[in-house]
Amino acid sequence: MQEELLVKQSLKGSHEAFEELVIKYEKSIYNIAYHYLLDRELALDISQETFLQAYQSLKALKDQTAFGAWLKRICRNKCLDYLRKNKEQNLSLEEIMSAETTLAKLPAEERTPEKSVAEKENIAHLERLLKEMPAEYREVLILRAFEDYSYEEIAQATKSSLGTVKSRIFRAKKMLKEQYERV
Amino acid sequence: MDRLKEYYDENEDFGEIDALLAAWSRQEADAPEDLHQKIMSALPQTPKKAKRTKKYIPYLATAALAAVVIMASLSLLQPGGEEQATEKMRSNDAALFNQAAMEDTEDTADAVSAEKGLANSTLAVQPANMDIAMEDMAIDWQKEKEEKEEMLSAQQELLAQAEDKEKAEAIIAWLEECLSAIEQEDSEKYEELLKNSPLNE
Repeated sequence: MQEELLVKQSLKGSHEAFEELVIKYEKSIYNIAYHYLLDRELALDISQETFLQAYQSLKALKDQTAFGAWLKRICRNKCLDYLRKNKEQNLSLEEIMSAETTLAKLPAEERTPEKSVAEKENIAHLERLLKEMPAEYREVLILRAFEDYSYEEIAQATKSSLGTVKSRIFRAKKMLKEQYERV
Repeated sequence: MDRLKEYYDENEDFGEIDALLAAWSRQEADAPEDLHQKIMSALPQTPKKAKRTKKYIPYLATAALAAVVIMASLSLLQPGGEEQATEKMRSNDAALFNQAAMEDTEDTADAVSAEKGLANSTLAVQPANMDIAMEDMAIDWQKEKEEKEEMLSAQQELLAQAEDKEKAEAIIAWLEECLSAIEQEDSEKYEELLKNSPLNE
């Protein structure tokens, strides 16, 4: 069934039609949430909240052909809200660049000297580093690398200036590089 | 001075990190096996499956009757549809009486009172009966919304065929006002709208 029709049926109260939409988008929504939050449980929570919000506010969707984009936007906003509300710290540049950052406090077993064994292992390692990164740096990196946003789009999404975005991306990559090379 | 120069070093090589980030962004996260069930369990249960309460019987019967009236009135508006519509109303009315009586066989008093309410009514919605029903219970806004949306959708679909477009449009406008009152959960306004239904005319 066409997506627009499923949306219309859902608006009329068809639970089955909405379930079809869930089936179509659940994996991609979970994938987005996971990339932002890097935590399986959190990604699941955000996925549930995303579909619940979509279900409850379906009437607010103006363009019924754009359900997928609208759903992903809800998910993205929820993830960004979560990251912002759960900032563990707001580090200064000096602190970030210092060897005493949380990145350096990774357990020894996670800092194995074996490098580039497999891409999957490297990615898992990258995820650990990203997870420990201050929220404002992680946010811009995700928007840039995962969402493929331009600097201007990131500035809009994060309500920051273009200069701030550029410098944050630069610092974030520098942090990642240093930590990655350290292990 | 460009503030970026303070931090940005063009000689910095992020090739390896960029490649890693690109690989990471392409990697699909392994979704849990029960992802679908968990998402569906977070959604509200469909109200259609909810058990109807005894107190609700008179009002549900009235709402169903209103839907019948709409369908019948539309048939009336079509050439040669009068006889067919009268027959349809007659059969629907009988079915409605049976349904009201069957809703709760344990408590015949309730069913009798529902039948009484219906027996006193004409084919149009009677404000007096509506008052009794509305006082008797808390309004199930979700249910009301669904019913009115269904009625609105049916009315809109049949609008093109109606000969008396003015009346059909008045019913649509009334249903939209009802939905607005439902949205705001404004019971006073909603009751007033039900009393002044164009279906009574």
